[in-house]
Amino acid sequence: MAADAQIALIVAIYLAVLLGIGYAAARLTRSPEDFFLANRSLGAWVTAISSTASSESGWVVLGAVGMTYTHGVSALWFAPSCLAGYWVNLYWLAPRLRREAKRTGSLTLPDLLVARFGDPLHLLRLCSVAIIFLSLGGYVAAQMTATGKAMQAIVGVSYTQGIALGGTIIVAYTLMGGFRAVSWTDFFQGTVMVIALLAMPVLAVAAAGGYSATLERLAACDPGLVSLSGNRSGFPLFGFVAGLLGIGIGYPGQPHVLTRYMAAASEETIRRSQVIAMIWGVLVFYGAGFLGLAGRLLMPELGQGGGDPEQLFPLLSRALLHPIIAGIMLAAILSAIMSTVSSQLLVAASAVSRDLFEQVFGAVRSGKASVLAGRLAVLLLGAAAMVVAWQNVRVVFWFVLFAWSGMGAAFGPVLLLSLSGEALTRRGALAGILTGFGVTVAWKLSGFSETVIYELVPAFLLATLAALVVSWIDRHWGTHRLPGENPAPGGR
Amino acid sequence: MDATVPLTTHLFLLAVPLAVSGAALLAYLRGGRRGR
Repeated sequence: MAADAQIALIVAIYLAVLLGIGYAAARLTRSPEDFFLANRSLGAWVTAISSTASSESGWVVLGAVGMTYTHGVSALWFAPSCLAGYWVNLYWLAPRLRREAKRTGSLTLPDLLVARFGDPLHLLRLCSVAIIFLSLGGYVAAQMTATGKAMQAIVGVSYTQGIALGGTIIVAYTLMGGFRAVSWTDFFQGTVMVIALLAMPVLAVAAAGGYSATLERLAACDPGLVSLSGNRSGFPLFGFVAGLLGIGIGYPGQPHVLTRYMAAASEETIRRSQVIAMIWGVLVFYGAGFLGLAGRLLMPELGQGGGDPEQLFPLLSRALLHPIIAGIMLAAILSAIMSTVSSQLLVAASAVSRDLFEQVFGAVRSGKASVLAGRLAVLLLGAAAMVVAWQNVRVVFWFVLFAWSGMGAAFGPVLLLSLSGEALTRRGALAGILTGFGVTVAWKLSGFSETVIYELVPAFLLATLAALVVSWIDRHWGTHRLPGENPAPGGR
Repeated sequence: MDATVPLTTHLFLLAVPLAVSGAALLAYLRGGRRGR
């Protein structure tokens, strides 16, 4: 059998496994708690690996590898930053979030905020839904584009066929099994990712002569490739490192990741998932880094005119490995993309069906109708995302620029503050959410992200400040309360 | 190790991931003992 056919066979088996998982999960999905939160039954391995896999898109296997290839060791500052984000999420946020979600019966992130602060005019829920929908809706469409391109590169189908095939499978398993299917497939996909990002760098570093030889050969090419500053100094160094370190502060605000913690079965599940997720993160981030470093020596032509360092992973897989093994490695690229898109699709759909139609409009009255509305939202949003990707509607992709940082700055500070005590009031939370998203968009549009610092850093700080200051003013001077608004700060 | 590669780079590439993994394992083991 030809190499391409063997790779296509492995990818076909991989896609069939995803559909099988979706079907199995569908048989267990009956209530809204099942569809939106797997009936709060996730085990430690699934909680850990599905949360990490959904947070790392194709960026980690393509973008991060390419970045380390181009900039050398200094690009790896993203790794400790992301691991710090994991640590805050897993050790601080996750147990509190699970406890609070269970206590209040919350199924979504807006549910949780409303239960905590009260929301008589639905402002908190509407703002949260708008930010989630704009950010994740665009993100899903962009990931559909990535799915189409990846299918095209790996299996050899056309771009349109790639979107149709990959997108249909993502929508099908998400629609059938809801959160349970998304979490189980994410676990499977996260496992494929970690195997690939463990095996490929080991092979690549060995092919480049081993650990020491790899670094020495890089240093001989350019000493900046093996220094932590990458030949930068002064403000450019500060901006570069602070920008990479800033990526990590986005983690506490990602709804598609946080829902995994809300769905964990118990405190013990969270405790066990902490160590699993941290080690997964170490292997994946440093794996991507070492692959980029060794890849620069193995495929130097990618760094020259016309080459694309982000294609290192797929090209090196094909060059170094037997087609069957290369097929598994290439499935890791699809895994990284698909695990993120299905999680985002479900959260975006839940924002429409659960938060908007069910909670704000009161249009859904039974559990059965809630599940049906959820499935319908997944179908419509998924189909719309596939059309947007197919037609290349640029305006939708514009929102992707703000997705990670916008949600990170909007929800991160508010969640951290609201779960750490009674400092926030409803108006403070609303101010924090709007400031976080608004500053992200303004900073990005002003061009400061490229010249000064990554937008998430100022947006996160200003959102924290806005939430605290408005809460303080509200508590000291805000006497006017609306019917249904919780009188005590923190809503208790 | 070759002198052309700074020690900080080796620490960054080897010690940081080992320290993070070790801290996670330690936290897990300590939590387990406390749980019993």
